[in-house]
Amino acid sequence: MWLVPFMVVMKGTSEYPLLFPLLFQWLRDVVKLQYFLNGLPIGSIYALVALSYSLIYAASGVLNWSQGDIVMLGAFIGFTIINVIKLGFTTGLLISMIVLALVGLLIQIAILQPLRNRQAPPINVVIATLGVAILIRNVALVIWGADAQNSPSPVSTKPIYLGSLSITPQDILILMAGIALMVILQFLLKRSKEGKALRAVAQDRYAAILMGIDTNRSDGVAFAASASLGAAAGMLVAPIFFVTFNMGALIGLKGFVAAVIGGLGNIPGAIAGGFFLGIIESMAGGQISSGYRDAITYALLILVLWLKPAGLFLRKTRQKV
Amino acid sequence: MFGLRKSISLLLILVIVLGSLLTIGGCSSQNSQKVLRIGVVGPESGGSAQLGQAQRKAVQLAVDEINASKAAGDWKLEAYFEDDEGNPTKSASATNKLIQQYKVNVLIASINSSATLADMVVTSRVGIPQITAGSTGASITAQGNEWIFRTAVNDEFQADALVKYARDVMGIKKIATFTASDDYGQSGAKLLASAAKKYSVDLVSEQTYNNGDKDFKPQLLSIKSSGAQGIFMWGLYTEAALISKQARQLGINAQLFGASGMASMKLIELGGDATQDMILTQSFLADSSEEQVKQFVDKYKAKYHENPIPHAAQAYDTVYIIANAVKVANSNKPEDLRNAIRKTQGLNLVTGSPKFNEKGDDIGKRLLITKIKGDKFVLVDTVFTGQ
Repeated sequence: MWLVPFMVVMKGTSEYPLLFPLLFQWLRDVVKLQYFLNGLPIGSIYALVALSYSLIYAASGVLNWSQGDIVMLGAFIGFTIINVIKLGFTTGLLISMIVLALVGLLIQIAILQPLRNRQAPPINVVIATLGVAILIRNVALVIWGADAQNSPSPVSTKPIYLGSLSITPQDILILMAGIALMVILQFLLKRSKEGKALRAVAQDRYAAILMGIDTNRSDGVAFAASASLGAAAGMLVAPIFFVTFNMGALIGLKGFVAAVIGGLGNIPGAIAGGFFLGIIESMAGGQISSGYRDAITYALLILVLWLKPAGLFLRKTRQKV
Repeated sequence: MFGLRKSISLLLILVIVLGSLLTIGGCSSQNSQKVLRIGVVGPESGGSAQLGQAQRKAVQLAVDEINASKAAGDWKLEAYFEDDEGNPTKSASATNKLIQQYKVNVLIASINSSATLADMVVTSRVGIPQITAGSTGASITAQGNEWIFRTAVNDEFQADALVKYARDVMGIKKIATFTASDDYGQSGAKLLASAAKKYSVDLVSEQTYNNGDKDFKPQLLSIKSSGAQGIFMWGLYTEAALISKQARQLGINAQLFGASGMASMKLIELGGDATQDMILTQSFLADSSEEQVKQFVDKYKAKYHENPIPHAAQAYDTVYIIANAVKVANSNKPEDLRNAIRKTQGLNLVTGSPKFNEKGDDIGKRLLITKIKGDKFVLVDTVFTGQ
């Protein structure tokens, strides 16, 4: 019986809603709905990190491997502001985002721009960002040490019950803050001058140069915005994951997988990919086996790359090399 | 007259020279006969550096004390230290170096269970008694190796004591295990399962996680739906703190239990309110009211200006066991030492009254069942490892 809407959708042209009837079927069970709910805040974090990868990739065609460690740096700076200097969470979040925007800009000016100007092959640029990642990680190790740090949550972590479902205010905060940041980003991309320039460069870099757009400037904007998003992701995830100098490796990798699932360089795709990955991880961990959770995640990545190399959520396949 | 004076002075010189020669000779011959060399291997750098450094400090403290108080009779103890970084290969070569180069008579090695197992290959081949003061892995004393002894608490005793306490004192009938997927966690999972069987407690859910995982909610939800009244964790403190927090966030009110591997102040610091009332087994609490413990803590603090950790207490006791063995055997031959260690009795030390079973496990050790209250561990019950 439930297959009817499924088949109707199958006949549709878009493949997007294909997942929905399947999802509704799954979610009729309360336990599964709980897994779904648990996947949302993590998904929101993954989406922010995936966005930061995609933003830089779309604007400058560079894969920035230091993104995960930028998340870690943002979390540590926020942790220090909140717990050592004793300013509030919102102030900490803002300062951390501003500081990281400057760090992002610095990476672009000090590393990317000189390599670009010397016409270095793309692989050198990627390796350089990997170097930045290792540098940030070791600096953090020296400053904050090897032990995990507990960053207290700005809101309560006591669960709220909706029937037999539970969710914590902290999870709601992460979800809401993540969505707010995504909306702000979309708004800036669509409305602001820098955002329009960035989208023009993403569409066709050389045409944009011919139209008089300063690509170094738009690259800088992309790096700053990305690092800022990363800092926010780090701040939001800190109360649930703790802050450690090596947390960037895992978050960076998961964010990258989400970006690839959504189609690298595709902004709405990155958001969808992040939530998709968060929910799949939670479901796979609970319904199949927690031991195989990561195996399932990466098997999914391979499957996506195999079946839909441009990402699950890209409707028109466009090659970007 | 003149000749007499000359011969007297010659005689005097002769006496002095001979006398000093004799005393020097006497001293050196006594030294070479009555010295017991102890080799110590532990991770003094790397991830478990804190444990190896505590072991070195405690061994040095005990050796100095024993030499000063003549607690080993005529025997003088000498300790030689090597760092293995927690790495089995480096540990085995450190053991070889201590045996060949420093001619040690007995070995205290090592802390990480995999390193201890590597050292045992060397010591059992050469035939040197080895005592581990830090490794809890059950496999160490399950190999029929006659040269190995352990003054740490075998994980088997810990799993047994935790499950028994849960059933007898807290009335828990259904338990879940939530263990790390490494060899430490998996050996713990097996021991908990067999303890549950022994005490006829229902094991309703067995979950695992990878070290470094951050999201434990899927497994915790399975545990929640299984209706377990107690969750037994086996792993390290960072993950245990996250598990405690996420369990409370999911509204799970089951009692949490943990083994000594995660019993660190850092667990309380990271886990905060979520770790309150968690129950853990440990062999040593620095703020205990036991007289032996107080004395040890005072001496350790006076020398190193920090509180000793359980590994320090166990290493300290180990040196006293060795001192007693060499005094009783009055020999530094490996077989004599081994037999004397095996017959250890009547000592009242910091972590208990050591007595070894045929496997080499200390069955006279106090095993403390502690509960987290506020920002510290509080003793709730004491059992002995032999029971």
